[in-house]
Amino acid sequence: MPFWNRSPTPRYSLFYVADLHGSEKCFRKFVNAGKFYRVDALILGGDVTGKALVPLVRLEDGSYEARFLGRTEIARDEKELVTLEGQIRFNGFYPFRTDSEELGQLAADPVRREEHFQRVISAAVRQWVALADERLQGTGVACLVMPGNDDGEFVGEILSEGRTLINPEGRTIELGPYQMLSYGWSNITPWNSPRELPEDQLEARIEALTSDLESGRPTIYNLHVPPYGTRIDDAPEIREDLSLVGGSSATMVPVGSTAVRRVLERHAPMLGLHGHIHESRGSARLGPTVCLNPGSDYNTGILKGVIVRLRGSDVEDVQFVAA
Amino acid sequence: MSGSSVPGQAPGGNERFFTRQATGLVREVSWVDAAIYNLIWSSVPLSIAFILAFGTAFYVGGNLMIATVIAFVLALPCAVLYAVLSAAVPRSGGDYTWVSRTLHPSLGFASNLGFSFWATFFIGIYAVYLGFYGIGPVLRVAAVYTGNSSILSASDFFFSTGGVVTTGAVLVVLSALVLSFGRGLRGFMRFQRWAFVVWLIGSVLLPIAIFALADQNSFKANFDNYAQKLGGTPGAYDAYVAAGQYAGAAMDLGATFLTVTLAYYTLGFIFQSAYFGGEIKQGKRNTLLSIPGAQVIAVLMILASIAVFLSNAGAGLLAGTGAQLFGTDLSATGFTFAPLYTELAAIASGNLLVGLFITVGMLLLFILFVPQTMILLSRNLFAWSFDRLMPDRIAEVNERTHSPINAMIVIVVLSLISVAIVATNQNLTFIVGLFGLTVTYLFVSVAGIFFPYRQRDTFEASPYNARVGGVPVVSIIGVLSLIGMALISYVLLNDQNSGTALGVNPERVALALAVPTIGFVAYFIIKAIQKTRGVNIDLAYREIPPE
Repeated sequence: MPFWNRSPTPRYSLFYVADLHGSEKCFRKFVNAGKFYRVDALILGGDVTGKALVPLVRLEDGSYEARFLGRTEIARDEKELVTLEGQIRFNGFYPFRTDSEELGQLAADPVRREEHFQRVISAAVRQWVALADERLQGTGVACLVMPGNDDGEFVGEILSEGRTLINPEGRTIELGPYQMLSYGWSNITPWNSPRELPEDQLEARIEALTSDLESGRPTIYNLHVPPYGTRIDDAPEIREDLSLVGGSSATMVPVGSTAVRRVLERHAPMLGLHGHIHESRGSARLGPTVCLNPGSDYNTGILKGVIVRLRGSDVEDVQFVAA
Repeated sequence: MSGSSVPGQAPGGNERFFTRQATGLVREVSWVDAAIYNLIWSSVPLSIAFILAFGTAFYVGGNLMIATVIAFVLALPCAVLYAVLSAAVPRSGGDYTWVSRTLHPSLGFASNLGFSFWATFFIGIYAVYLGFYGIGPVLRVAAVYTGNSSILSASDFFFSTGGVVTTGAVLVVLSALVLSFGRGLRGFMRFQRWAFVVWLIGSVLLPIAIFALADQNSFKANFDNYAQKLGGTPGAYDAYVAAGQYAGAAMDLGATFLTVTLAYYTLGFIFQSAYFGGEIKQGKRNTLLSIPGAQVIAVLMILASIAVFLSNAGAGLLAGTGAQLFGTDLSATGFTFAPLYTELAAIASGNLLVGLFITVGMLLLFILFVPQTMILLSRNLFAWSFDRLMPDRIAEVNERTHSPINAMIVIVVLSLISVAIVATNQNLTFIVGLFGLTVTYLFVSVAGIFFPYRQRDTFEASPYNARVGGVPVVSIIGVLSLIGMALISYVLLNDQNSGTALGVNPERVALALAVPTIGFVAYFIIKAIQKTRGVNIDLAYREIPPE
């Protein structure tokens, strides 16, 4: 805005990202983004945890072997092992050291595998919470991190242990001059992820949260899943076996939530923050509501996000970034 | 979360990991699917058509087979580089992202503006060709085999300037309407898969098979007979041979090198799958098979076509068609517009249905290309808008139609201008745009060289992090790509028929260089304007230090 037109209403700015899926590099960038972009708040809108474990299997000679990205990597000493683990984490996977015996047991026993997953994810999320607390304490930058549909319930509990990092899910919180409602569950997906609900139940739960909102105040809805049919919810069409319809000339279909759309249309908040669909970075308007999805490229180490500058009840400016 | 994880196997067949049930984990696109996508956009049949017609007519001493192999060798490193970069940085906007992040955002915009400009030019080319090479031949085959003269009159309309402008404009507008509605877009994607089958069989495999079995004398008789049914005088085949003045000169290496232009038209543009990455990075095998692999398939199709058509349709006839395409009047033969190799195959088949299948295959190429390229352009406009290089209204999604109407309007207007320019400037041939697109490849090649150094973490975590003698393989491929593209540029700037020969068309060369230069300068002007609004556009690509 030119200086001759500057409004007396102070500007409030936030940086929003979603779907980091275990990428440590992206999370570190997220934590540092407050100072970098000079924003008042950092918001991570769900899907914090990764999707895959990559075993580093101890070989007879004491070295470790990992197979990922179409190649076999051998780490001969601790230094190489740490480097290899870093590369695996960079891609949003969780590395873990094991031997062939344990690997066989994990492959054969789904319960044991799940316990292992939970253990590894819990440790990683705790590290992230500690990192954010340490880096952001006393900076004045709000840090809000909410679990998404891909994060088990235990993830929300760990996020709630933070001191500076706050888990805003399932309630209304104050964000500068604004109030923000947050919810990370999604509508039903083909993946049967940990936190999904049928549309009617999802709508009822979000609607229940709106009762805490103060009427007449500008409001932000931080809902992981985007509203249906807005192009920021387009994803490749897949079959029941999760293969792509049409291969590389895939058909993009809307997969957002009709419940979220109805809630937004009914309450008309100033801003809707969404993630969930990595491919459909963009903005859309639903009546007066500006809906944003920053997309995600977590597996490249690139932090996709959006800087939102608010003034009064207006969304003054939106800037997508790939940091 | 209990019981929700599964042991992972593939992509690439050499993986060992456990996945849990989480959204977005779809099966990787097979290399065959990706290769199909690449082949559709690269227009193999059009390349075959122009190699056969123009190669015989204008490239005296140029060996078409060897020129095709040279074009393959020169374009291969760039294709490998696209495969490598798309595996290392999947789903991130292709050249725009690679150049912006590796070199500088201003260079990324310069590169991508150039690519988009020439892609828009090609929309005009293909929209105009729909009449000339698509609808016209279909109707002509139908008219001859059914004996219906009214169909013949209708076909003449599609060979006229008014006809090609009309069909081109209709194709552009219809494509935009289809793409503007979710249901239409989905319908197009489904149509595309079936259209590719007809495209491949009709315009490539059937013509090769027919001429592999054809005898030149019997074909000559068929051709003359066909021409007479078009109202031509007897001896059409000989008239074409005379007009073509095909000398059959001994091979000249220099001339052969310049003939590379024609095959490069296809072999330089097989990489569209680079814009369609998966969430889990693709293995080496997949990207290498889908991009350079598709190049190999294309080269084999082109070589087979050259072999059978030169020997059994006759180089003299083909040269005659090339001469007619460039203005020699052969309308007395009955052909008001030169027949392409597909129509020759339809003639050789002697069968209405086979003839229609072949010519419809070629027609589908044009129909597929225009909307495909519009999708590509809309992605670029979105990317610029997100980065604040364009007004954010361009990327706005219309609430009622759920589509980016503003972006589509911009593309339609520019495409219609392109149609008008191409249709009224017959000397603006398809290859005029090749040099402009090659400039983008030069940017990408340089980005590839520096990628391992400027994007160290991304490089190290990618499937292509190998080194030879301490030098990253990606950088070596970048150097080879730069050499290949520099040699291609040399050809395009020296081939008198390329449309961008420095000595003949310096203004077009200047235009090809001016567009990215304008993009480079515009970046800094836009940056200054946005700064007055409190927006720092450098932030769009500036990396936050993770430590």
